[in-house]
Amino acid sequence: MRKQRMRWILVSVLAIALWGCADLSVENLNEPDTRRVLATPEDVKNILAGGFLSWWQGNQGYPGFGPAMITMADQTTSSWGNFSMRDVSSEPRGTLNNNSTYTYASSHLRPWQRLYAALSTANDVLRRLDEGLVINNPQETHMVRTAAKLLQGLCLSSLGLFYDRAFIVDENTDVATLEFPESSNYQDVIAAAVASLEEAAELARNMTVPFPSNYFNGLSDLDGQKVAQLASTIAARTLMLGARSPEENARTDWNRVLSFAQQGLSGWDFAPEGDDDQWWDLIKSYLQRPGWAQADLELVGMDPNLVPALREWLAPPLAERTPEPFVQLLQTTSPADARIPGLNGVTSYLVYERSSPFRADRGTYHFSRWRYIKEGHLDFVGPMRYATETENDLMIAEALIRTGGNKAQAAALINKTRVNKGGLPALTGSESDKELLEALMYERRIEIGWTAAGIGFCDRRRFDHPGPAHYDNNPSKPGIFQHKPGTLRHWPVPGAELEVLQKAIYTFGGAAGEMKKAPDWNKDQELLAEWISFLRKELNTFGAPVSVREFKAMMNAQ
Amino acid sequence: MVISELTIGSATDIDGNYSFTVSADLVRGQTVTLVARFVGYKPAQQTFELTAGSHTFNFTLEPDLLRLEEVVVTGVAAETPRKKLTFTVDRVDAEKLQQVVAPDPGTALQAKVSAATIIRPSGEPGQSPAIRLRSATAISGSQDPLIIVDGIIMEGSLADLNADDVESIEVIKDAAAASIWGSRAANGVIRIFTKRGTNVAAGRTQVVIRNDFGLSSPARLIDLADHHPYLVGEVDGKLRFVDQNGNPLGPGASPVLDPNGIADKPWPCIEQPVKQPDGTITQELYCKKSDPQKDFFTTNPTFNNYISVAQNTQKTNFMASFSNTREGGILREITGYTRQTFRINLDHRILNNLDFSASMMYGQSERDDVVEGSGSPFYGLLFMPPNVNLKAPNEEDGSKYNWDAAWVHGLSLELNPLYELANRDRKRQVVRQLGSFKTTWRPFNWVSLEGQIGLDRQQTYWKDLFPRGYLSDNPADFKGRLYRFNGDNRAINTSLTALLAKSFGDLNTKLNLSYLYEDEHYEEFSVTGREFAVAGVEDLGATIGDKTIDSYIADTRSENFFAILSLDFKERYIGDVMIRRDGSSRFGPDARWATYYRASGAWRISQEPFFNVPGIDELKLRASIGTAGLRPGFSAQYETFAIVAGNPIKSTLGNRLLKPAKSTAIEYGINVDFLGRYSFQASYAQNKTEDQILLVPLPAATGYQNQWRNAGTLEGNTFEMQLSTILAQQENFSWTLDITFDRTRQKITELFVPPYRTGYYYIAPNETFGIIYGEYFARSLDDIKPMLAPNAATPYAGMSLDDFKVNEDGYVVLKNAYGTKDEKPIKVLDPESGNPILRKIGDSNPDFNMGFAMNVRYKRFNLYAVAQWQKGGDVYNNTRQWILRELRGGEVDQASKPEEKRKPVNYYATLYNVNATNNHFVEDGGFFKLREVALTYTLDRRALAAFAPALQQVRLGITGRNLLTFTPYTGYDPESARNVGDVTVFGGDSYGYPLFRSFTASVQLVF
Repeated sequence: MRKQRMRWILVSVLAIALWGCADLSVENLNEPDTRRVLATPEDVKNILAGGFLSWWQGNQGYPGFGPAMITMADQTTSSWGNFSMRDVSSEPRGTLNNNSTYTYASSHLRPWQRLYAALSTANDVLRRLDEGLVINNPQETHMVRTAAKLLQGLCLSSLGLFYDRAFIVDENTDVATLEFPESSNYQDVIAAAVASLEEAAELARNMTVPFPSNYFNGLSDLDGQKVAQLASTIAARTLMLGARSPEENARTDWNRVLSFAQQGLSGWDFAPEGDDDQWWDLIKSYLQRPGWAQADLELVGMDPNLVPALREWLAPPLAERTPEPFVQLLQTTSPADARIPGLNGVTSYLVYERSSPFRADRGTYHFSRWRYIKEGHLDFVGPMRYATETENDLMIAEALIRTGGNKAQAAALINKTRVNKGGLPALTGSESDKELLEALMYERRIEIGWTAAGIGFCDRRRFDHPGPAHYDNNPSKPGIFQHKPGTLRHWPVPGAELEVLQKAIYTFGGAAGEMKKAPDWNKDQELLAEWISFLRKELNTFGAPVSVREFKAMMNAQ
Repeated sequence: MVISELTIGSATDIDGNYSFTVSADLVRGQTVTLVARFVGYKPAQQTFELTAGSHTFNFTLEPDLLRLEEVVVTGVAAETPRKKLTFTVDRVDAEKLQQVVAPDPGTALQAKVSAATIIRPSGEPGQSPAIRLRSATAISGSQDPLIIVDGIIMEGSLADLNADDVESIEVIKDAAAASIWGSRAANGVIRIFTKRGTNVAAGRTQVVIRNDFGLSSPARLIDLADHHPYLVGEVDGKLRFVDQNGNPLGPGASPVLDPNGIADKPWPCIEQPVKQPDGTITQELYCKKSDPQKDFFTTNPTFNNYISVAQNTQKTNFMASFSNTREGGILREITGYTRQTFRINLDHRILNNLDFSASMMYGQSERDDVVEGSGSPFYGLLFMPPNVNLKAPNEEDGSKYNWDAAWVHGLSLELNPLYELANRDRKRQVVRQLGSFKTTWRPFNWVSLEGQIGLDRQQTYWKDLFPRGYLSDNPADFKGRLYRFNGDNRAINTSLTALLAKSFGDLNTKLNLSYLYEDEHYEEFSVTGREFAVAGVEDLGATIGDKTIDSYIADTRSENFFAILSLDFKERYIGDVMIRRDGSSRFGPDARWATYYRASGAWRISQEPFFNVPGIDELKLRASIGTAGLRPGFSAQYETFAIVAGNPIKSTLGNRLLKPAKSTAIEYGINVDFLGRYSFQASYAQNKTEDQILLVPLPAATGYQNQWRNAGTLEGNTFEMQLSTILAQQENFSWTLDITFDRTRQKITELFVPPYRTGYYYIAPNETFGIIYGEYFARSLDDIKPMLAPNAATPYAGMSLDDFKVNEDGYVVLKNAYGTKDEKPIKVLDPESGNPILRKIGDSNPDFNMGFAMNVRYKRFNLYAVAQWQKGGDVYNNTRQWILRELRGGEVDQASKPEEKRKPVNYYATLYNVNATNNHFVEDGGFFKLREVALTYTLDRRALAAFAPALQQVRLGITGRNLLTFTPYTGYDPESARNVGDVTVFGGDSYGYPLFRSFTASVQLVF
């Protein structure tokens, strides 16, 4: 019996010993949450580095809209389907497929998401600062505010330039109550962007601490003066490129463009460093890569000596275009522009190749013998030029011409690359506005086309002079400095986002031109509505920022 | 031999003799049952009064070819004979597993268990299969069942286990049976038992030595175009690419399309660079033709050495084994997979009521890895034109295989795949340790307490080396690059179980109470170094370029309790109820605990006194309902900022309420054994999995991209049957056949996410789970009707249906283009936008599956064969699609077609559709496959006694795997064609390592 009792005791002890006391709370040690990201003032400063990277990837990253826009601008040509290049830049131009199910839907969805992720980061930081957070000292706090404002302006700028409408979100917006703009509001977005950039430039002039080098990878010398110049150049770019048509271009406030540009980049180019990891540039690394893209013949054909070949190339129907007129002409003639190589030649801008990498069955009109190489970065490292002194000079020049200002000065600015790099005859300023502007556009196309994504694309939708040739050599059609008929003028709000927002899907482009309502794939509207209302409720509880009090309490605990 | 009331017993010796002693304190003159069991025989029993002194009992066992008397342990309170099960448990024993030794235990189950979808998405040696039991439970995420080996919950890959060591496998397929594993068990459970010393005759030591040697070779090659559409002409007696005027093209110039656009020209000679002894490089005309696939694939050897030693004494038994395996695969320059495993299983009886068991495995393996998918060597291979010399050395540095051989004339953008195989060094090494330690104590004869601790540790090491000087179109490669990765996963599970068994008259009850604690820790670390300072090293310290460093840590802790009560009244009415409570760190903090249950019952009608149907030996009806769960991924519940290059970036909004997905399954079944030679089982199972764990997109303006939410329901049903038959059973001849059948349907019934595409597939509410979705080339005039409206935004607006016809391929084409160079299929466009319409274009779910396993024994010969038939199941063949970019697919070749039926290359370029998914590449992936065949010749002890008395058995065998496949599918293999996305649900073929055929000869000696 004693043995039996012993056994009972043993069984009981075992049963009690096993009774759970396990701790089932596990911290995620890999990806931090807001509490940890914003745990200390130093963290608040650091989170902007992630914001700038998101902004960069939104503009220059993959998946992204850079390749689509540079091929639509006929800077580059490629008949590969990747990055939606073939769908949006084939001729005749088609309608953008804006359904979330489109194979390349991410090309304009991911930039949209990344720009808003970056914008949200900028706004989080500004909100903290408005609540009185001090980051180490007033000087550093000021630097962080400047950076956050700059990031806010940069994001709004891209949203305003490339999309037909966007939410305008700043540090005072409650995202849970945002209303979707029912029609295009790009002008408002651009105005908001310019206001933020102007404020950033203003703040930067009083900035005594430079940006840390992780804001724009590898740049440790961005002091107040440089940041002010950068903000001013982007403000000028935003104002100038925001126009969607020659008519809107005429209404641009050119005096304001001139004023921003005159305070813009001077003596340096803004070029974050590629790191072969996160900081890299899709259009530089792929749209200059052998086998992937060639310089469009409309770019090379601007050369005064090659214009006859360009016209001959544009004469036959699309299906019969081959680079033969250029090859033939080069037997007897050299390009006038020193930047453009002749037969089998190479310069620091372009290389002449023996064949084109594309398939004949996709249209020999994509065949070109040149490849653009100026920006380098095929190995994903080195400086990635995003805004340059040349761009700024050309903006000053254009504003001077368009405001009836000092045209000799404008000519001198154009000559900086036209003569020094291209060896073309110098302009004096006495030429007609058309001549000056066309020469200026020539420089924009060859000098800055592969810097920031979308520059050439935006130029073409606004430019009021045709350039040296018209499409199909038909004067009633746009010139080669303007978009081909049916090209998108801007991206619609991505279909996947419209689905989330419960809005009808619309799109642009194609023979009929402007907005079209595409078929709606939301099969179960009721279910979606339920989901959205659920989501809205959740956002109010989980997405809400932490108050200063809560925030400070967390800091004490550290 | 065991006295079941006392769980005391012994194994017999080799001649069937046994004896054991019962300690005096247990002898009380009570009535006990002595049971005799032997694998493959029906058990027998005798009852007697246990009194002091010696007792002798003799038994004769009947063979049990249908395995009717098997006992299972999975999913039930305690060991249960199959006859008394209330739900389906499939069991595959050593006899079926050992006929053809599979590369891993998962693959060994193929075609042997009904409704088990076991796919090898890659033929690469060392890759483990993907498994789905019955219908899918997860819209996004894995369908992998929980795998338990000797009580150890497996977290790592099955491929590290040696299939030779496996004694038996038990499979339960959904929540109706698997509820006792709670939140991990919605996908079912597979339990693997390894061999132990108990199987050896008492007092003996058994040594098994086996050696296999085999050869692997490709089973089928893909049809490629032998002709092209470019202008060729004879120049100086040699065929060359020429221009319109017949002049040979200069090197590099793009070939000129023949205006007729027909691919019927033979491949010409081309100039290829050759390095001369003096170092100069000259262009030499190369005029040979070859099939690049024959240069790439080859026949490689495979071998396996296995030795095991097992001993059984009364108190202690053990089994120790060692195996050394190499699977060569079918690639040139790649050595394949090598693995060594060591195992020791030990059982010891400490006291009459106290047992102890330990199981230990150590395995190490190395895979000479090759990348799969687009951009990989399998991709480049099919783009290679047949007229370039892939085996020529590089003129740049003399290294093997001219890397840019196909760049001549821009014939292909892609690189010579052999160069990567030979020069890129990619290896995966795994060290695997499994261990379990179990103690069973029976303080009273109706109580058994068991404590077990199990460990699974997997350390994974990767190396990916591009040596300095690596030739490539990426300038960064030339400087070299080295990636190293270490991952370490350690999972410990501790369980305590109490089993109480008591009989009350005709009512037998068993109560099982259990507690389980799981603790899993994962860590990984990786570094990429770029730009070697010197050649010939693979030291990260020797890299001078940017380095990328990354690491990851995840802990999961779970605590679970369950109670299961099983009742058995008069052996006719059987039932059980179960409840389980799970807490896990993977659940959101506000949803930390979940409850699961099961209730099941069976009625053995044939045991009723009134039942008297001649020929029916057993008739049982059964039903079961249960719930089980699926745990969210590690980071799903957390608000996360991705740390990208050291910078925090907003990523996922957290969800404190994230629950495990909940699966509810109901199973109805019938078992009939009849005429003494047939055993039939049928089940119908319904499964509904709610609270699907999905990544839901958020409005961009929130700054977060998405959030993990419980956001959908997936439903499925499965009908399955299994018939085992004895076709003949005589002294010298026996013949058995097992047939399985299953049919599964699955559908998404709720989705709180906008419908979305994932790869080639589409996820939408009220839609079948597993559909292929894409653009559509019209196949009937009705398809294009809306496109012809006068205001339609299509090129065909205003045209009449009379302007079109359906061609011999079944595509709608313009009548006036038919038979000309302009003939093209017409894609269905939305009349409003002119964009292609996307729609369902295929369904990856098979109509049904059948498996056939046959065993014929004649004297000393045994023939075993397993075949599988999958009816239907579409596959999206992107492999066939992509190579049309360079007009390489066999369908482009028109040379063998009559003149009037030839199609121009633009016709195929249109179907290529810039690689966007469309109906042309949806193929029937159904197949009939002869999976395994084994012919063995066995000499037993009596036959050997005369000349080799030490030997117990000699077995010689020839086996083959993947011998024959009949399929309409045009790729390498319809099974390894499933290599994109969740391969158990979707069929998508994009450049995987094909499954291959292998023959093996084996010799096994037993001492």
